[in-house]
Amino acid sequence: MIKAFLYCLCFISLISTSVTASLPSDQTKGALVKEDSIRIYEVDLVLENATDAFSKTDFDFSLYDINDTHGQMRCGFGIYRAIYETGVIEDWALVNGDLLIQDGLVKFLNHRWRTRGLSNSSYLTKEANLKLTKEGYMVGKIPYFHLFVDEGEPPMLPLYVSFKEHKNSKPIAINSSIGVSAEMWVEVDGWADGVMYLLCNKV
Amino acid sequence: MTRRELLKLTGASLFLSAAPVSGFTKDLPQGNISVILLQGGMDGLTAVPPIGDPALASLRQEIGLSNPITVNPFFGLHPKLQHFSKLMARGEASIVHATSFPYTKRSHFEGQNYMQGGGSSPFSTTTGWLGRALDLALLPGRALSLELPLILRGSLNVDNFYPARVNGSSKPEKWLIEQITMAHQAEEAKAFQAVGDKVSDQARSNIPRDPVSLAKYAGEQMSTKGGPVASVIRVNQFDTHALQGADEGSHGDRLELLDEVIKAYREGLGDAWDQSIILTLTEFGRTASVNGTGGTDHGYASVGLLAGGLIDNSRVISEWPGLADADLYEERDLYATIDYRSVCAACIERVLGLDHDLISQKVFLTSKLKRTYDYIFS
Repeated sequence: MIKAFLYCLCFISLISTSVTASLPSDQTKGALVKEDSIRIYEVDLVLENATDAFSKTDFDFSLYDINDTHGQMRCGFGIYRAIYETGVIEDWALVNGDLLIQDGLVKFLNHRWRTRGLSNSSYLTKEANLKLTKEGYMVGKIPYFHLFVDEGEPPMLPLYVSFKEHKNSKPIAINSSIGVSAEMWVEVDGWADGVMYLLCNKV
Repeated sequence: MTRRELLKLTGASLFLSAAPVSGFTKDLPQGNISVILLQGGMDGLTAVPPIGDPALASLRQEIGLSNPITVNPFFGLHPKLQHFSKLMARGEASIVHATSFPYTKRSHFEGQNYMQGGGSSPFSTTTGWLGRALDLALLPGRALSLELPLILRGSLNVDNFYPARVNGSSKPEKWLIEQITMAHQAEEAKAFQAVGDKVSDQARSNIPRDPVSLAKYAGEQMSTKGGPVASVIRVNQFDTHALQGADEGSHGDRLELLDEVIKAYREGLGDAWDQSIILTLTEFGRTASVNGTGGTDHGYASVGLLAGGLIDNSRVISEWPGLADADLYEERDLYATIDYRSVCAACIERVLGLDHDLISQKVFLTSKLKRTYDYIFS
């Protein structure tokens, strides 16, 4: 037991240190540093691809086994809010429509956000970055409007949420040919998760 | 393994700190801060060459850059800092030039202690400036390492652990933490339980060791709710006394690695990038002139690179001292015209919301630190 305890201490130590009690005088300041007239040099740097340096839906797929051999699958989908505290899944969709899964890539087709404000179909169509894993999960990152905007309220930009292999998700049974239902859960913020319901058919 | 892969793997270590714990943290911090320790003394005149200074070309004939990125008519950027240049173009990165902690003795041992301690002189404190700042913000910390680096040491209790991959090591770690948890009650027990859960997570996951992967991992951890608000990564081998190189070569390799570390932070942080500031820290700069072996020796001032979404406007901030003989410190080194402690203080003020005078007195242990906040964050 003692040996095990000492072994543990090699890896974990609880450290308590204290700030020096008195404030020492600055022995090295003054003569070494001149701070009279700091100047700001503006940046003229313009790079053509600077705006492409990052995409808000960049996602590291290297952790997943992407299924790029299953052929085409067309799905109807709807995304709903799942209230974290109560567990209630609201009965109105934030967005619903159709999507196509081809060679592991998810492409959003006709769909409509119900959240008003800035939400429109261009976000999912242009920015969504979702792929299908061999286990049937959708992983990746998409723009996500999680709040309804009433008239007079300031519109809000979307959140960008990451789909991972959520414990509540029910993956797509890829080998089934018709009427496959699935659920893809996504963590959104502190009060509500999201759940995407899917009904898919092989094309 | 290639030389480049070997260089990437050497000298990397990561420290995450200041995970807010319920019952201990007064207010949520306004952002997060990451420090990249560039050990060995980064050559600021190579990283950010003052291309508009007429003395530069003659001083740097052997190691002058043939193709620097033009930041503005006076300053360039090493071509290996591609990603950083894009951040500058996007208004998310800035440069502070001719800057240093007020230390001129050119010793790695003393300089590295001073840049982390941040007191009045090397070895004058047993705590570090970032640790003291986290103390002031009432943020107890957690570091991922066997040893806690000086920069993160404060007076509040700090837990640290090493994500060991030794067979069976995770089990006794878990056992020990369970014992500690049982010995405490209420919020303290919850805090230890949280550490225990983290250990379990670490034991299951494959923690990388190279600085780029560590930076991405750190960013991911800091982006989680309730995650750490501070991280420190070491990148070494900037001590290029010989064959320093120019566009290519050993110093360029280190700058490329630094560039990849910043990029990895950006990727790991994700949306949390908007509330982040990353700053580099090096113990000293290097001589203005090239030595007889195609390298540079220990000097005084260098350059500080800052990146993150908390920066609104990219700029180069400097009171340029000049490179003529009479302008050099002891006729050999770039003179420091900005105390880099004031830059660190501005970052702390922005991230932790602490008052500048308080930071000056309690973090950097001086009452005379200039406030550079408006230069960096306005």
